[in-house]
Amino acid sequence: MNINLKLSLIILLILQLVLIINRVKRKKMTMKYASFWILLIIIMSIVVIFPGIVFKLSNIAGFEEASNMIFLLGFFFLFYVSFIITTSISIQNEKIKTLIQEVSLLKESVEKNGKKD
Amino acid sequence: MKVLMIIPAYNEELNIENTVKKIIKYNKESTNKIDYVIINDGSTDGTKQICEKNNYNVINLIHNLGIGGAVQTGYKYALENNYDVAMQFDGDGQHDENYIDSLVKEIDNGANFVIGSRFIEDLSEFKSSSTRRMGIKILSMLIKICTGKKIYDPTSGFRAADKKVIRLFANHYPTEYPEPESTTELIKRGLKVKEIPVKMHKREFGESSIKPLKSVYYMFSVCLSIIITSISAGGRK
Repeated sequence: MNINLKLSLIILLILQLVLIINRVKRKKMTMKYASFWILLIIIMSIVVIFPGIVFKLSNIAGFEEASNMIFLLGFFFLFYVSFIITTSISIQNEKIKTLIQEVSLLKESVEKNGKKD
Repeated sequence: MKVLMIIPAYNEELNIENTVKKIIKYNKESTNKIDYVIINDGSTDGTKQICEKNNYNVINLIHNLGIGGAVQTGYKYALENNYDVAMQFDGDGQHDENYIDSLVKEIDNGANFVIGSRFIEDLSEFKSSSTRRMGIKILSMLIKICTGKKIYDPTSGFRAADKKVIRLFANHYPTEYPEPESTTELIKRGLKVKEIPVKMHKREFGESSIKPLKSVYYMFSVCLSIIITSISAGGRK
């Protein structure tokens, strides 16, 4: 692998890492999700530093080109991530719905009792 | 029997007064008195002001939830206040107060859930468009296949529930396609679901909430929700 390409990829990964740590510091991301992304960065760094691993793996799995395997894995990964996101959105919607209902019912009963006094 | 009328209302400033008048008129003419609660689903028009001006019994949802979430709030209210029967009655003037008694009577006779149907007998002048009628026929057929019971009007919003069903709906009520899905679940759980003929009117003012462009996706989703509900509720009889 070209040394310039290697260096710029590593710089990109470091920037991404800084971005994530910043998010966590500013409480814009919880550790649960941050660890997930940091783990991904670690794996990507290993691949960038030792690209031979990818070629070996794709050979074993039977891919003609190592890049095919990368694209396929990337696609599966993104698919899985958006699947997880729709699941968690559904759960949150349900929680928000219950919250709105309970608060509205409570508000109504508080206001009604206030009128009686 | 303590009967509660749940009136979901989203931007119904033109219809809501007529709807409540119907119930007041019903209470005057009938020996059986019923209560009502309007669930104002975060309306952006004057619905809230009209309700407050007339001192109606209203719960203002602090944010719009959609029809399923609004109706479920009504069932929660019914559960909290210990009602024997909860009825859904649309705020848009489609439903006829003269059939309240027939629905309550069926609950009295031991049904857990009663649906007021447009399609059993030819009472209704309003039957909605032919495409929508076809959609309803498909849903009806699918429910028959999945549960073995024929429901002629699975999308009817004029329905009455007994205490057991009130408790069930307060805990879980589908948000997106509530009527066909909840009916399927009740039948699958072995509850007694009855359908009786009623008359329905055209909406008095305003547009119905289902947009034609989305209707294909709606049909697809509802069909899936019926199938999934009938599979998952089967074991919990």
